[in-house]
Amino acid sequence: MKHKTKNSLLKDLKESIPGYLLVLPTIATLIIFLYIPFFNAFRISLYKYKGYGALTKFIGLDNYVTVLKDKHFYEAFLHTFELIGCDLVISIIIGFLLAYVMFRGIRFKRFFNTSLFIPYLISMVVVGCIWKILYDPTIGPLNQLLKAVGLESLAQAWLSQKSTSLPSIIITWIWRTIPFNMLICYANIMNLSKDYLEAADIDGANQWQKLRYIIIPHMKPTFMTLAILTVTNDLRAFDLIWVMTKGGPGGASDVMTSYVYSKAFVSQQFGAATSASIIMMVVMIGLTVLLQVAKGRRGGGENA
Amino acid sequence: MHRQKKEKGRSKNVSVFVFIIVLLYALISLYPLIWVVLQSFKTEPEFLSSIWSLPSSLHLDNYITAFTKGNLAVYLKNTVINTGATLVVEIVFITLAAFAFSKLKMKFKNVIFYMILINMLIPTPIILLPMYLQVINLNIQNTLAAIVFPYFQGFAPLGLILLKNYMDGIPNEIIEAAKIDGCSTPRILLSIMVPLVKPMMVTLAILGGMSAWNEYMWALVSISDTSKYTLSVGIAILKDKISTLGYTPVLAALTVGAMVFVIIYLAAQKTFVRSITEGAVKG
Repeated sequence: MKHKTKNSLLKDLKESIPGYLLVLPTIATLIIFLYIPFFNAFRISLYKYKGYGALTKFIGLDNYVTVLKDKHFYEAFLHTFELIGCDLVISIIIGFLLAYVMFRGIRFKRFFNTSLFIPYLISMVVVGCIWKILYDPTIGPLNQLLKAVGLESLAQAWLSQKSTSLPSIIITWIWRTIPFNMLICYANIMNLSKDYLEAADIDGANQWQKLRYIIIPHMKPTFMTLAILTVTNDLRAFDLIWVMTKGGPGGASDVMTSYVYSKAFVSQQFGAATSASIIMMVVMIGLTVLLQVAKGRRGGGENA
Repeated sequence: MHRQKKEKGRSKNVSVFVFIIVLLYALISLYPLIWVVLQSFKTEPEFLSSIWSLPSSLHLDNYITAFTKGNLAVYLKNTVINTGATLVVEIVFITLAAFAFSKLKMKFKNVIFYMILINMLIPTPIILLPMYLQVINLNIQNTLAAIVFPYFQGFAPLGLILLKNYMDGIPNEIIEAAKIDGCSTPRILLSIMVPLVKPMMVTLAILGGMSAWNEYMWALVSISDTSKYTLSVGIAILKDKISTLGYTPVLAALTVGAMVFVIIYLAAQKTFVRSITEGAVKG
């Protein structure tokens, strides 16, 4: 009996060879550039490491302790969640409202639909460089505009002040994410069956009622998807912050990723940087799982 | 009937007030780009004397400065090569793997599939340094391989999900019939599957191309040879050279950087929008 199952397993494996061969290039790349580095990350986090040579100074969990004692680590965490919070609320709402206006119909709809998407097509690096010039204290259009309209007192060094650097970055970030949220909302709002709206028309529902009782409930799964995409995307925020402020001044605009990056590649504390990124991963996975569960539950409720 | 529908549509249009708000929003949203493009055609003194005026003529000198002194030509060339090579690897590897997962018998199929998907949960910074050490270990620093394979690694899960789902939608009967006619597995893949999944391959090319073209963090860490810098790394450096190059050449470089995908988008809007929607919803 046992012999037989062994044989059938061998037979299965033999039949699987063509499949394995086709998957091999992908798996080989992942082993070399993902699994091995990933396991090394855990090892590095337990050593005092300067980025070169062999791992010799084993220090246990000291790196984790160092990170957890670092005030900047918590600040970076907080900033990341500020970014996520603003992005979730402001960007998704504005994105949805624009999509709703397009859905209702507006003059020059094609023009708006095409042009409003454009900011999303520009890479975060280029966006960061452009906005850095826009925020420039002397030549920057923002301050010059404020001066021109007599609000000179409001003109300031947006990116090099502790109080304004993070908000300025968040505004830029949202400027670029709204078009994406608008596009996804628009694609889903167009899937709404016209029958419901026509039935509501017959019942004499006004626009607000249609929005409140038909369109928004229809869009709930979309909002959930966008929320998940926003959270996973913003947790990885790096390019824009690095280009605009490098997390400065004094860590005032550091997010998780830029904190890890500067710990590793600026101050050469690779062990601490890696343990910070492992803590970060645990948080990320926790949040992702939480959101997926929330989404699953909501979806299940709707099906029932 | 048709006219009635049109009238109905018009009566549902939003009010003038909403129109003005949307118009204002569009202006705020697009003005930064319009401003950069316009200023990039000015001479430096013209720009410094007024940042609001329109360019007096179309000065292309800034572009020449950006491409030569600013090394934009080198960055652009490197980025084209990196993106092209990455796309070839991504599309070939993902097509092979997706076909195996979707249509072939494989023991432990699910285990292997989830081993690939788990990648999505690992944030890049965590493997940034070990991946860099791996590249040094393999002695491939500053080569194409050190860019292409890490990029493929990052894109593999999304690409695989998209293409595998698409292939799942193609009936197995087609493949069975081809097998009976004596078609070999490679022939089935190349002459039956590939033509059928072309639309999804276009999506993969757009999504993978955009992310490879724009990638910054890994390029910043791994490339030490300045002649191998990518557009993202190079533009970020150019921005810090305003004091030596002047504002207008940098604005010209930013215009080039910004317009690449805008032009592709305007030329193929439907395909582009479809790709991004698919990437978001199914990813």
